[in-house]
Amino acid sequence: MSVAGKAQIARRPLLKGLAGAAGLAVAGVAFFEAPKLFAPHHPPSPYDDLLAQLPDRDSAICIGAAYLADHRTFNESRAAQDLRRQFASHSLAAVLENDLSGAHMAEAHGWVLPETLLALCALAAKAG
Amino acid sequence: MAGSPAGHGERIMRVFHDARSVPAGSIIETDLAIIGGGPAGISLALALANTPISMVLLESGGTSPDAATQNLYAGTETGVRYIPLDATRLRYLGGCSNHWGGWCRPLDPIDFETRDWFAHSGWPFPRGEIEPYYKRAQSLVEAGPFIYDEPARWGKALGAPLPLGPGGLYTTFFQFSKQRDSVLPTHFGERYADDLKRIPNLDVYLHANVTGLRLTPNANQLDHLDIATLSGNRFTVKPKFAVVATGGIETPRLLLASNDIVPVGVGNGNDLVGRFFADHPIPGQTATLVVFGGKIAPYYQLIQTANGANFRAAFAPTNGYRTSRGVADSLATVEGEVQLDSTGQAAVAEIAALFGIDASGMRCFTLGCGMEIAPDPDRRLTLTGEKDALGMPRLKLDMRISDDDFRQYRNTLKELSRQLMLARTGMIRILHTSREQWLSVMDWGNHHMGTARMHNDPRRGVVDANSKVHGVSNLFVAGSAVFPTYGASNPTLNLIALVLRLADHLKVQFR
Repeated sequence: MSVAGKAQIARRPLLKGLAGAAGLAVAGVAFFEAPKLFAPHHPPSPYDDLLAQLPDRDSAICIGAAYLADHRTFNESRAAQDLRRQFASHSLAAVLENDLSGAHMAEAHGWVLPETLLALCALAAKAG
Repeated sequence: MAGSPAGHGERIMRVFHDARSVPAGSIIETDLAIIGGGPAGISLALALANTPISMVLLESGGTSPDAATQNLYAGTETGVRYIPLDATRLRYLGGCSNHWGGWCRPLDPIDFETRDWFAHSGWPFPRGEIEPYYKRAQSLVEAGPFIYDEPARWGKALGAPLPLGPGGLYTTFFQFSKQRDSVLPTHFGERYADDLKRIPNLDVYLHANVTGLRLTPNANQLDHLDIATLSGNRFTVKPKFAVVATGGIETPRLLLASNDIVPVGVGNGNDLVGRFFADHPIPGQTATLVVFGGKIAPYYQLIQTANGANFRAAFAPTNGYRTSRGVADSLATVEGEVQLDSTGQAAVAEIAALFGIDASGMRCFTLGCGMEIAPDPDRRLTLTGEKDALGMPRLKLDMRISDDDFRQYRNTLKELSRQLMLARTGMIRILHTSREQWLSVMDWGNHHMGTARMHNDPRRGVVDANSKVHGVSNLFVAGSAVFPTYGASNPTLNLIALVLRLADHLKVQFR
C-alpha cells in the first residue's frame, strides 16, 4: 500500500463525519425552527394586548367566527374598550369567574360560554 | 254472571261481563259507574273494593286491542304536528298503560301553586293534599319504594351525581314501573284483571261504550248513561254517582257530545271543556352535553336498579329557579354519545386551557327532555260533524306550542351550562334556536291533560277541588284531564294519587 493510498483512506471518514455533522445541524435547525415556519401567523392587530391573554388563539378564532355569524352588529372597538377597562383591574380568570357567577353568558353556534370570552374570541376572529 | 267457588278463604273469582250479551234495553242500577278501564278507572275500582258501594266499570274495549274499537278514537289534528288521535291512545282494558313507558315522578310542590308569571296556574290545593296518596299510587304502579329525590341512596349504589355549581338546576330521579318478565311497565288491564274479578262489589263490562251522559231535566244531576256496543246492542246504566275516567281526550268528547239537555255539553257552561289540552313535548335532541372528565354515573343514561327500584336521573330546575326566572318545568335526560364538530372542539379546548382542566378524556352526549308547556285555552279539542261507528261525533285537535315555551327551556339549558362550567365539570351546546328547528325534532309524550281542568271557580274550571263537575251533583272526572297545570313529571303516578284521593271522597258521599 502506497503513502498516497493511505492519505486517500484517511480523508474519506473525515468527509463522512463532516457530512454527518452538517446533516445533524440541519435536522436540529429544522426540528426547532420548522414549527415556527408552519405555525399560523396572526397579523398584528389593535387588540394584540387583549388577544395575548388567550391560551389557544386558533380555537378562539373558530369560536369567534361562530359568534360573529350570529352577532353581525358586533362593535369591535367598543368591545375592546370594555375589555381593556375590565382587565385594568381584574385578570381574565377573575373576569370569567365573574361572568359565570353573574350568569353573563352568551352563545356561539349554540355553545353557552362566558360573555367576556366570546368578546375576546370575536376580536380574535376579526384580527385573523 | 258466572262465578266459581274458591276454597280456603279465597275470594270468589268472577268473570268480566260482555256488554254485547246484555239484554237490549236493560237498565243496570248501581251506586257508582266508572267509565273507562285505564289506570284511573282501575285504580278507583281497586280503591273502593270491599266497600258497601256497588260498582260498575264500563270499558269500551276487550282485554286485547281490536281495530274496530280502536277506530272509535280516530279524529283530525290541525296546527303543530301531533300524534294521530287513534295512535296516541289505546282503547282496551288497561287503556294507555298498555303503551306506557313506565316513567314515574311526583309533581313538585310549585306545580300546585298559583304563579303570577305562569298564566292559568294554581291547583285548588297544595301538593300536601295528595301527598298521603303517593305511596299507595307508587304501589299500584309497582315502582318500588317511594325514594325519588334521595340522591344519596342512588349515588351510594352507582356513583355520585354529576357535580354542578351553585344555581338553578339539580339532579332529580325518575323511578320506573317495575320490569316483570321483560315487560317493563305495569299494564293495568293485564296486571289487575284478576284483582278486579275478585272484587265482590264490582261488575266489569267489556265492549261497553258510553255514548251519552244523560242529565235530569234541570241539568243538575246525572240520571243515566247510554251504553252501546259495536255489535249494535244498547242498554242503560243508572248510577247514583258516575266517574268519567276516559283520559284527557275522550273525557271532553263525552262531555261535549252529551248535549241533549245542555246544548253546549255537560259541564261546559263556561266554554272550558276541551280547552287547555296539553301534552309534554319530548324533543329527542335538544343539546349536547360535554363532560370534561368523561365520567358520568350510569343512571344518567340508562335505567339502573338499586334499593329495590328501577331509576334514572335527569336535570331539573329547582322550585326557586323556576320562580326567580319565571320558567316552566323541564326534565333533561342524558341520551346517546356523540362527537363534537370543529366549533365544539375549539370551545372545549379554549375553556379547558383557560380553566386548567384536563379534557383529554371528555365524552359528549345528546340531551333529551320532557318540557312543561304553558296552559293555552286555544289548544283545544272540539267536536266535528263526522261521526264514528256508534254515532258519536269525532274530535278535532288544534295543537299549539308557543315560542315562549321553547325560550324558557333554552334559558334552563343555559343555566345548566353555567353550573357545569362553575363546577369545572362540563359545558352545553343548545342545538336549536328557531321555532322550525325545535319543531323538526318534536315528539310528544302521549300525556293527555287539562281538558276538564280543576278549579274551585266554575268560570275557570270544569271540575271542583274534589273532581266533581261544576253544576252536576253526582258526576266526577278522574285522571289527568283535570290537571290545571302539568309540570314536567309523567302524569300516571300523579293521576293515580289524585284518583285515590277521589276514592276517599266518594266513600264519604256514600256514608
